[in-house]
Amino acid sequence: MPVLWAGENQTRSCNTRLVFYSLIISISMLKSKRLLCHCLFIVSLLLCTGPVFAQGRVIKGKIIDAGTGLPLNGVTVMAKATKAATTTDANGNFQLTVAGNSGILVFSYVGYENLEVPVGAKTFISLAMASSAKKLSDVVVVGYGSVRKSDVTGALASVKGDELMKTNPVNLQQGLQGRVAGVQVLQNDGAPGAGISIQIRGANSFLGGTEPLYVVDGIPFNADNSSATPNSLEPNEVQTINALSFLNPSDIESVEVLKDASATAIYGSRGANGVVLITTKKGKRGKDKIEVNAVNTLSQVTHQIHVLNAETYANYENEAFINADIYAGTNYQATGQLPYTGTVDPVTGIYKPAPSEFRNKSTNWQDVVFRKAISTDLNLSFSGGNENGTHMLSFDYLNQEGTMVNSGYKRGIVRMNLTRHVKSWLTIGTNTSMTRSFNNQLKTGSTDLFGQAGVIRSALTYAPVYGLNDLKIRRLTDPYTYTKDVQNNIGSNSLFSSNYLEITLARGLKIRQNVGLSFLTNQRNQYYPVTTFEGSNAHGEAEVSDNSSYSVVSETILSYDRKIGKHDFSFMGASTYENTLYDYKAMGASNFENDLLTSYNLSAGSVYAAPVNGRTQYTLNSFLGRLNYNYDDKYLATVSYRADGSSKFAADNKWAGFPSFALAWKVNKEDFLSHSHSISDLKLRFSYGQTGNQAIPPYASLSKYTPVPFIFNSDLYNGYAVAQPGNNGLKWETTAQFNLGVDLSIRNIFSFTIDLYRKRTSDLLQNVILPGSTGYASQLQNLGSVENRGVEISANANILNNAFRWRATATFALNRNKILSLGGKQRQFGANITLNDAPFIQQVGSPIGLLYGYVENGFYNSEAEVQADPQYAGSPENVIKKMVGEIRYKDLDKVPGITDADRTVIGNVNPKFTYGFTNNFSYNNFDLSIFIMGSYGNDIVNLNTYYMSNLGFPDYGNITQALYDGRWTPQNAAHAVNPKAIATTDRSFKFSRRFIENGSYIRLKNVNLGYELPVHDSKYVNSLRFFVSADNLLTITKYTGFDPDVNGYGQDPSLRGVDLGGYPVARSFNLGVKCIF
Amino acid sequence: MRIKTILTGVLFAGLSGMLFSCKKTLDEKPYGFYSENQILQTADDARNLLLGAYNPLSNDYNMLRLPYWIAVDLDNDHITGPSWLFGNTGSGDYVDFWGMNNIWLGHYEIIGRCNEVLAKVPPLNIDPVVKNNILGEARALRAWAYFSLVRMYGAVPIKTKTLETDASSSAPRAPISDVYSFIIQDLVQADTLLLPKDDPKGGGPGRINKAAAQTLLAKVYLTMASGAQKGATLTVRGGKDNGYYTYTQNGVAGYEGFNVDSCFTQARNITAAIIDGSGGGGQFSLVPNFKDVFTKAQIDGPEAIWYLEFKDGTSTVNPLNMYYSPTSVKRGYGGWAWLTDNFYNSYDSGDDRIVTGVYHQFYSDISNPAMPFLYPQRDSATYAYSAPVTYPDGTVKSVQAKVLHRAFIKKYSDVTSPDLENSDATIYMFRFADVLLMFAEAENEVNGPTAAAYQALNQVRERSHASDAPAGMSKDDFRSFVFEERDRELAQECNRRFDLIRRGVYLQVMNQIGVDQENILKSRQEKHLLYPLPQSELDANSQITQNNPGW
Repeated sequence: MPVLWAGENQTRSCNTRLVFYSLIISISMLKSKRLLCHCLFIVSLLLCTGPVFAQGRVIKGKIIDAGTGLPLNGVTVMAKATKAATTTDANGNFQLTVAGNSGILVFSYVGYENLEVPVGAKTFISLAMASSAKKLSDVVVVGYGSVRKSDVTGALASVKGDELMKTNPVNLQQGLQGRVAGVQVLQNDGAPGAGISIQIRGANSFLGGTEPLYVVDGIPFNADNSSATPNSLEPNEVQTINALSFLNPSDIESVEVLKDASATAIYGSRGANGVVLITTKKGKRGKDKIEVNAVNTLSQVTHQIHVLNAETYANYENEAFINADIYAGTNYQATGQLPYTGTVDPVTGIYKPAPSEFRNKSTNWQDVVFRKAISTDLNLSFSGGNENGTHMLSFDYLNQEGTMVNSGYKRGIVRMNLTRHVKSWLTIGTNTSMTRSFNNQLKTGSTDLFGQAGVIRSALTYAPVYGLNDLKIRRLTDPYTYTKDVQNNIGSNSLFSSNYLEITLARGLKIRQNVGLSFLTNQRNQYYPVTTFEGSNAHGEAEVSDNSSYSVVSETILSYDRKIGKHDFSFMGASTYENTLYDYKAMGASNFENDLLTSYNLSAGSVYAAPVNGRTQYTLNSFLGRLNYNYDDKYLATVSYRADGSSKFAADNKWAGFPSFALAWKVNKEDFLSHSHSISDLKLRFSYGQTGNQAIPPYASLSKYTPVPFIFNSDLYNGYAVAQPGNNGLKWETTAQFNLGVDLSIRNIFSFTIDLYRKRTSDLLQNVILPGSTGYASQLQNLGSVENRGVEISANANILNNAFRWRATATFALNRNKILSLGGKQRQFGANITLNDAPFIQQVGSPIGLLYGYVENGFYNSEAEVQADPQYAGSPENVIKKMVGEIRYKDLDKVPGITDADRTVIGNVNPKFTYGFTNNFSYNNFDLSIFIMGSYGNDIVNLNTYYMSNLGFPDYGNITQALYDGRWTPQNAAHAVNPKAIATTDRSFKFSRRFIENGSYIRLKNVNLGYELPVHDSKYVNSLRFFVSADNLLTITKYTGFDPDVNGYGQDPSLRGVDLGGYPVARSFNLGVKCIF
Repeated sequence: MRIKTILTGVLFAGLSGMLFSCKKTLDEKPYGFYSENQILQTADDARNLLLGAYNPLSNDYNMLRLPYWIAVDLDNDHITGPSWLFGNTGSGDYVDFWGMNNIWLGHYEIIGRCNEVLAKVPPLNIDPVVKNNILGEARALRAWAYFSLVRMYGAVPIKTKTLETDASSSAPRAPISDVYSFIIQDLVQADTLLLPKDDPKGGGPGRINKAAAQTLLAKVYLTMASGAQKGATLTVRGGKDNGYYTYTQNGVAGYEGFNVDSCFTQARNITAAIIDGSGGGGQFSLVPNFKDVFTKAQIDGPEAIWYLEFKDGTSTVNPLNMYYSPTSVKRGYGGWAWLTDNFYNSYDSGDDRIVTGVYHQFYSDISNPAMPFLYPQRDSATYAYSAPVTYPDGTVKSVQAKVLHRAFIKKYSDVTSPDLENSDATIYMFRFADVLLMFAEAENEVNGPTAAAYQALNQVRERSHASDAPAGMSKDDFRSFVFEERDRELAQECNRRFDLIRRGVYLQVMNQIGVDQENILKSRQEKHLLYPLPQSELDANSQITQNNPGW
């Protein structure tokens, strides 16, 4: 059978060639990461059949860089007619068999201009290729497709995987921090595995829905940290886990952040907050490779906060009680009831040491809970491919110790990415990953006032006079017990699978079916033993809670590309369906005989909490289309429309349409610029579009009657009550956005992208606080509108481009947020952040995130000063006396008395601008990158200060040295920054600037030094790279808390920038190796 | 190529198929809650909707399960405790108490749900007697909530519609007199709709009945009358020395327009009718032994008019036993609110209310963990206690402990699980002893200290083996005696603060103490007569621009 024979022959010849070219590839890979190019080449090569090579002659040559004169490794050399091709080796040499003398050789290299050279009679071709900035990264992913970067009409930013990995991030968002202009990454705190929120171009919602939509290999994914975090036993614990933790950053090929409406409108109802498209790594055609990455990290908190030692603390406590006698008329001193006397207490009979007895006997609770932590991240991947498809199998194991004792995060991920060309017209593929993570949490970020403060506040405030094993005061859990005895872990399993099938119907016409499945479960085990304040009342308190979400996505996409002369069209149309089912439950028990079984056997408790469970389901059904048109590679236009139907809205408002368009003009292609030497690229972009936001829970439009208990006649009956008032007008939040952008590149050395935008969001979805007199706390309504305007600049410079290379990248973003309307109201307040304070004011004409409160005016230094204040005129002696050494607030409304009317704007948590600055250097086999980022002009609400400032308040415990040194005393009155210490429970402060600090910072975020071992001739290793890096090496800030990169309320846009006693961010040193076999 | 055609066909079918199915696809399938058309058909549904209105009283943290009595009952001259508990409401710092917003919301939650009953039950096709009783309960419960609100906050918004039917969520504060008119109107209607206590078609034990509505109405009239009554004198025992101090009633702001005489007369007549049974609400009498009144066995006894039940093992439990009874040895803490020594010494020594009605805890903190000792007699302070104490230098000395005597009321101690934080202490909303004392007070104001007034008063005292009230008291003396008797009988039943305020002597009595035996600040200012409205109400309600004076 001749056909069969021919096939066998082909296979054999391909095999030998494979070996040969794989060798070239493996050599070339030593210095180059531009694998894609090689793969494309191999593909084209393998598609050729043997006979082409049978008759011809050999051409040799050498290719160098026109700028540097250095040889170029990996340039594709292809005979235009026969498609025979090869690539240059490390010395820039190539050798190719061509047919006859006619024909043209095409030289192509990523980042360089293509060259075409007639072969003629030459046997050796020497060429210098010039780099072209515009082709640096050729293709970018956009929603439901991809385009050449030069053809992008909207505002989007692309981050490649290796850039992302510079800081050795444990999750995607950390890697993005500071890299993209206009993308603000806010970590809740520094706890391993903790939630992170991303905000693109400012907050345009009051609800939790300012997170962008994440799309992993085409499948949308809702990264809602709160719903991923199982219920906590402690309602005051607001810390969340990261819903995107199933993504291993080192598995990411590239991330595209879509910012303007033209880019995001194709995601319609979920595009308003921007879209983050994540493309995971796939195998590449060519020789199979094995890659091993290992990183070891040593981390430690950057600094400790200076609190009082035991002796000073004892003196301070005594002073507080003496001051109570002096100013509040108590008689502690006379009756021997000072806390540290060196005598036996007459009431309890217990000996109370004197302050001096604590000299050199102080417990530093921060030392007790902080540690040097070692983390390991191991990555192993196998990848490869041929003309029939590609494969990749990767394993990741992360064991991240927290910088606080007993906290840590472990994660294992297995991921498989396969593509296969089943038929010439049919391609299938899957990207499936399974993740198991285990998060040992500590309670940080607590909103509780007293004993349930969380470990950070406890470490700061727990009295240094106690030792580790002393009998503890029950009003506050000591930090040692928090870390040692409390069980608080979350185990998560996730399965994420994105699959497709693509049929080529005709040239340029394809139909593709995506099916995505994701299944996530999280289980939390919590136990507060009797030694903690939380568990002491209940005599041991346990809870097991879990949640699971199951979602299925189906997308059918039809696409058609056609080029007719200078007219280049591409059309895409699709219908999608998504359904998500979410279940949660929690069960708890308390009153345990002992603490041994923790939460693993709830029946060991004798009091059972009522079980809590629930289920929600929602569906999204959409139809969308997009048309791209390109005339002569100069004028580009994009028009898109998406009709979205969401089950979450009221019956008549389920459907909404989201149109967009964009225009772009490649000015440099015009005749008047085409020969310019200085301007190598100039593109103007303009776009407008509408997007929506549907980030509300299901059933929000319905009145929910729920069973509520009442007991009469000795029995429990379940009555009915409306737990949530419905709203049958509930609809989408709509954002309309304009974007004007310029891409400019000068002499291929400098390139800039500047975007200006204005977006207006109307029909804001918000939980409008109702007057309590309605009988309801709040109702979900569409109310008000908000505007975000801003500028984003990113700049690149190839400063040096010879043996010593220096590239710099800078990003800068400025956003101004303004509330345009609150539906008739002039102002409203965000939720309380302490028991009584709701300082976040939302008022028309001002940004979300404004802080409202009282203004201080020093202290009352004497009784005369108190009496002179009109509000105390005629007050009794004891009232006047008590006010000495207390804060004097400014009476702004001039009506005697400090009331709510005396509040004014006292802060703003929005940064004036944010920036990032990266320098990449390389010399020979060394490379160095330095990454600096920062935020300017934002305020932080420091609740640690809030809880410590009430000097002398019983049970508040220790304070910082700064607060102590600045306390009011008659001697220190002129320099006082804090009121007097007094042991009284009836003093409370008004919310003033005292609790707000400047949160600006500039941070040397990362320094990374790498060395690529020259292993050209090794039989065993193809590439070997070592690196050392340091994260958070240096931070310059005036913020007095642990770290200015803190955001206790996570994804809640109305309560940004609050430090609830967050887990401090660590400084870490990494040592890593990357090896390819 | 056939496979290609089939596959392509399937995909196109899928693409277009969704077009046709989308309408139904987006219907929300509710899980875990009812929609209105699933419920509200039967008599049980009507009852359940009503129980939803009762629910806030004993559940969650809005009303009598927790913050209500911390606000109302810790803020008077007869109670004291540790500074952490008495630091805010107990010291006049209402703003910093976490529960203040909850209390406001809790009352209006009840009101809103009563409005829901009154709007949605009438159209139901159910037994009219049952239906009327349910509507009567809703009206009386709503009146109770408004009565509680008007005493706490003064002028408050009157809401009569549900949120769904009343789009404007903001409402102005109605003057105090309007609130009282509204309450009276509701209660008069409730009286006609409600069935007596034991009627089989009535709500049953623990629910509002005819007598409860009448008792509430009498209390309303008594409050209006005494609040409007200016210039009368009242002698109250207290201060630092537990002396007798005579104050002149100041009257209550906003009550000036009420007719003192007719209101007292109404209160007198209504209570008289409850006492003699002519009111139609059933027969009531005192439980023979005071110590039995608060036991589970007697909770639905002859003295009970309206009460709240709790049940262990459900979410409907309360911490009253932990706060008001002594420290449980097993629990290791609790016992945080006790009678002041002065108040304790105002009882006759043989009065059951401080003999069998009180736990005497002797606190001797030498041994760790600190444990209380309970003694049966009030003079047990003589039990001395000493124990070895190890000093830092290692020497051990025997130290005599100072013994604290604390009297804890027993009213909330008959619970199923006394060692737990939360258990099932029952809370009386109204009991017959209160009716007798209201009658004595009103009768004295209307007719002077008559034999009937004495008889009602002494009936209460005799039950506890206290000596009869001194014969031949003047009208003023009798008023003062009843006033003091009310708290001796109703101590820690959310009564004293309201009594002090309605009689216009709250500030005078509290300021006479200044700082109490436990260093708790008792002195108060004018602003303390009314609670501050929650800031959230002021922020969200465009019709209310001003808080109560001083807040």
